[in-house]
Amino acid sequence: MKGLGLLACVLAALTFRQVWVWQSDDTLWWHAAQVTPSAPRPWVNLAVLAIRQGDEDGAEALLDRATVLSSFQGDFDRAWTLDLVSATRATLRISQGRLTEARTLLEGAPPLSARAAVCQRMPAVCG
Amino acid sequence: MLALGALALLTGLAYVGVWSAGFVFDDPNWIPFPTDAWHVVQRVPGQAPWLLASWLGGGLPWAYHGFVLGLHLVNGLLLWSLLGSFLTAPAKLLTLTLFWLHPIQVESVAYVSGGTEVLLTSYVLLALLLWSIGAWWSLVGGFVAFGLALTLKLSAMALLGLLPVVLRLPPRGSMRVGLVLSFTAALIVGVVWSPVQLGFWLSAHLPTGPSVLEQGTVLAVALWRDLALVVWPVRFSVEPVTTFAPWIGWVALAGMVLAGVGAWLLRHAWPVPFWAWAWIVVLLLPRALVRYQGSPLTLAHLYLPLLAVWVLAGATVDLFPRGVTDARF
Repeated sequence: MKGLGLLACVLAALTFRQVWVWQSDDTLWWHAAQVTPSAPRPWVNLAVLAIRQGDEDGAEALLDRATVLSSFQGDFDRAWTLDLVSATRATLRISQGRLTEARTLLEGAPPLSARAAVCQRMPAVCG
Repeated sequence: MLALGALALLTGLAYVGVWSAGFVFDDPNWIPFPTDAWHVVQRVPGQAPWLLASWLGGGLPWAYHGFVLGLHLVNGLLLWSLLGSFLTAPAKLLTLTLFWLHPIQVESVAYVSGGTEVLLTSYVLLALLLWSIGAWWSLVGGFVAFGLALTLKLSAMALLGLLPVVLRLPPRGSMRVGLVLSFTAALIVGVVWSPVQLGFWLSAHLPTGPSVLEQGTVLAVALWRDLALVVWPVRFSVEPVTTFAPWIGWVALAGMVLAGVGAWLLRHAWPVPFWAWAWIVVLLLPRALVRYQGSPLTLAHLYLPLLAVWVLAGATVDLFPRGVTDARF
């Protein structure tokens, strides 16, 4: 019984710590970026958070980092990551009022892509 | 009973952080909010229990988090009841400790969207428990619970593979016929309910995705990685690395096949490993057909398949002579 009690306490402590990772988008994606720094998606999602907080330069840097990391992915994953990066960058351009650049980024978006979702939300930008 | 209560209390304490957590990641896209809850339930009846969380919290995160945590605790009790006389009390306690408290479960319990897997598991455990009772009312109850599970999400169609487990349940004679009828009827409901989703899924994913074999090897790597996290439960990430050399995928796939062969050879002496292997493979293999985006197998998706691992771990306790287990527990 003692062994089981000890195991339960250790697991409870690990779970307690892991639950706090899921408090907010901020905690979740910073943790993911620390644990799996070679995965591009956490950096894209951190860029989305940076845009929300008005940190445009920070968002650009994070998107650049995700783009570099995508080169280590397979074809399918890379295409998916680059679509996500373009969609996020287009959102940033829209918030900066640079609509022509945003339109260029969103051009030729395939259905069900992240870029198509941006066009759906803001049809005026895509024309 | 005292140990069970203490474990439940410890689980509540371990998950205390969920009460102050917000919605994260894609939660807002998947959760039925008070404004659209009825619409969601009309499309997906299995989502109905979310109405309770939606009504209680008025759309605030704490109610959804509390709801999922409650389901997690209920699932533990259902599992405890289902294991009934199959395992000794120490074996069941170890199974429940792992099920309730292993940190790999956090992504399902603390992430509201992951709660769909918790709800799916509630339906499956409830259905198995009701079917095992073997009365007509319980067969009907099993049909309802399993039918709701099948409407919950398209990947729930993998539950088709649970037929061998269902056929091992206790009911005999006419009740056995009723059990099979109940299972089949629930499947038909699920299939009838899902064709629109299935059509969308096929048209959206299959033609442009990677090959089944390629996806299968990725899935095998993901599964070995996640099983490693069971043994060494640190450094979890919502975003597992998916870049690896192709040969690792082949080794992982071969490893899954070998593990199955080993469990099959062992089945007469100890059938639990083969059942565990089959449970995991049957529930996860269909995912090899789905084009993944970002991650081939998130930790949240493991909530139901990992039940087999917790039961297998618990069952090892019963391999020891009673004196040894008494000394250890």
